[in-house]
Amino acid sequence: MPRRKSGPPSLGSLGALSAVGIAFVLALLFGFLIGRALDGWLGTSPLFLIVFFFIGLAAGVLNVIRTASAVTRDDRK
Amino acid sequence: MPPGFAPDDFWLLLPEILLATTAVVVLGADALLPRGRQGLAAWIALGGLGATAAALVPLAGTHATAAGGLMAVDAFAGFFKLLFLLAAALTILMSTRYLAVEGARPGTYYVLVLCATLGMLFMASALDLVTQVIGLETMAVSFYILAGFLKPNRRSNEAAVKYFLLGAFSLGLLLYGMSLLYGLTGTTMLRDIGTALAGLERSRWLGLAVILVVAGLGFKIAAVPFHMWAPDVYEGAPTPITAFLSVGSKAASFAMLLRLFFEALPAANADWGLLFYALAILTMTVGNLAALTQSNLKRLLAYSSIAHAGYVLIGVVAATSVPQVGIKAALVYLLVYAFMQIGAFGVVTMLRRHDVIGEELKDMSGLFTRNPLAGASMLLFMLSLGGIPPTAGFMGKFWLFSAAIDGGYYWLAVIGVLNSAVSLYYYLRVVVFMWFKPQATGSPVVLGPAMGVLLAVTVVGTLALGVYPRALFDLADVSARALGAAGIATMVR
Repeated sequence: MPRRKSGPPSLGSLGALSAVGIAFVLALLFGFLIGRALDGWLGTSPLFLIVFFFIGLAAGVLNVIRTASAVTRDDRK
Repeated sequence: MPPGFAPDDFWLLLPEILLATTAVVVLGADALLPRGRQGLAAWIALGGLGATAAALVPLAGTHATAAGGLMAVDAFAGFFKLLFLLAAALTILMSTRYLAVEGARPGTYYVLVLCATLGMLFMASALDLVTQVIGLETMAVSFYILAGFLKPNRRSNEAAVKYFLLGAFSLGLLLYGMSLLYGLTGTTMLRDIGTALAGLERSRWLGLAVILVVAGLGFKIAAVPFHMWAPDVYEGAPTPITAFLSVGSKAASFAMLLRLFFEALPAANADWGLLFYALAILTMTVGNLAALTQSNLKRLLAYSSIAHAGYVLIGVVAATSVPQVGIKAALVYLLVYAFMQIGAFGVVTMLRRHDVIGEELKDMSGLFTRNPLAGASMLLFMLSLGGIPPTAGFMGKFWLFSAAIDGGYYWLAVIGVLNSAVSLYYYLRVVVFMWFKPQATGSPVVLGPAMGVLLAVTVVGTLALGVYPRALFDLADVSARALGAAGIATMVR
C-alpha cells in the first residue's frame, strides 16, 4: 500500500460525518415511534416498542458504518 | 489530601496508583530512551503490570470500599483485575515483534495499553455510575487510538473511525439510561440506587432506562444486534490490539454490567432478565452462523468472539434466578475465554511476516509442518473454543449450561449446546487448513522468545483449567459471593 502524507480530511467528508449524528437519532426515533404506534394499535405494549427500538438502533448503526467506510475510502484516494 | 480520600485508601487503591505511575514512566521512557533502545518500554510496562498484580495480593480477602464509597475493593473486583493484568501482559508480549514487522514506532502504544488497563481496573471496582463511565471512557479512548495505530494502513484508519463513532453513540445511549436512573432515584451510587428502586413502583421510565443501559453496554460486549462494528474493527486494528479488545474490553464491560445490574437494578430483574435472554439467543446464533462463511482469520475470530459473548450472557440470565451459580459460571467462562482467545490471536500474530500479511485462512495452510509447536497450540485453542474436553473451554461451557438448567432456563441451555455444535464446523475448518492443505508460500513462521512465553502461558492455562478446574471454581465462587450480597438477597424470592 503506497504511503501518503496525512492531511486534513476533505470538507465533504466532514459534512458527511456531521450528518451521521442526526441520522442516528432519527433512526432511533422512527423505530421508537413505529413501535409505539403498533403497540397502541395491537395493545401489546411494550413488545413492539422494544423490538422496533432495537431495529431503529440497528439501522442507525449500519448507517454510521457505511458513512465511516465511505469517508475513509474517499480520503485515501 | 483530597476530600473523601481516607489514609487507608492509598493501600486499597495501590494497584491503580502503581499502574498509572507505570504509564507515566513508560511515556517518559519513550521520550528519553535513545532510538533503537525503545524496546525497553515494553519491559518497563510488563514490570509495572507485574508490580500491580503483586499489589493485588495483600488485598485478597478484603471487602471494603475506598474513595468515599466510589470504589469497591472486593474479591469480585480482584478476580477481574487479575484477568485484565494478564490480558494486558500477554498483549504486550504479542506486540513487540508485531510492531517491528509493521514498521511502527512503539511510541505511545504501550502507554495506551496501560491506560486502557487502568480504565478496566476502574470499571471492575466502580460503585458509582459516574466512576463507571470514567473507567469505561479511559479504556475506550485508549482503544480508539490503538485501533488506528497503524497510520499508513487504511483498514486501521477505518477501524478507528468506526469504533470511535459507534463508541460515542453507545456512550450516549448508556449515559441517557444512567441519567434516567439518577432522575428516578436521586443518587449515582449503585447500592443506593438498588435500595431506592426496591421501594419504587415499576414505571415505564425504569423500563426505558433499563433498555438504554442494556443497549449501551450491548455495544461494548458486542452482543447482537449491537455487534456490527466488531468484525470491521477487529479486522482493521493491529492484531495484538484485536486480542486485547476481544478479551480485556469484553471482560471489563461484563464486570461493569454485572456490577450495575446486580448491585443497582436487582429490583427490575424480571425486565432485564428477559432482555438478556433474547440477546443471548440472538448473539450466539448470529455470531456462529456468520462465522461459518468467513475466510479472514481475524473476522472469523471476531464473529466467534461475538458468539462467546452470547455464551457468557447465559450465565447472566441464569443469575437472575440462581445468582451465585450464574455469576460464578460467567466469571469462570470469561477467564477461560481469555486464555484460549489470546492464544489463538497469538498464533495469528505469528503469521504476520515481512512478506505475508497472514490474516487469511489460507495462510494457515500446512502450519503443522511449518511450525509444529504453533500448529499444535492452535489445535488446542480451536478445540477449546469449540468446547471439546479435556480443554478449559469444555469446562466453561459445561458450567454455563448447567447454570442455565439450575435456573430453569432449559431452552437456553439447548440452544447453547446446538450453537456449540455449529461452531465446531468453523473451528475445525482452521484445523483442516493447518493439517491437510499444502504449505503456504512465504518466509518461515518463527517462534520468538516473547511468543514462546505467550504460547506457554496460554496453552498451560487452557489445559490446566480443563483438567484441574477446582482452583478456578473456588476462586470464582468467592468472587461471585462478593458481588452485592445485599442486592442478591433481595433477588432470591
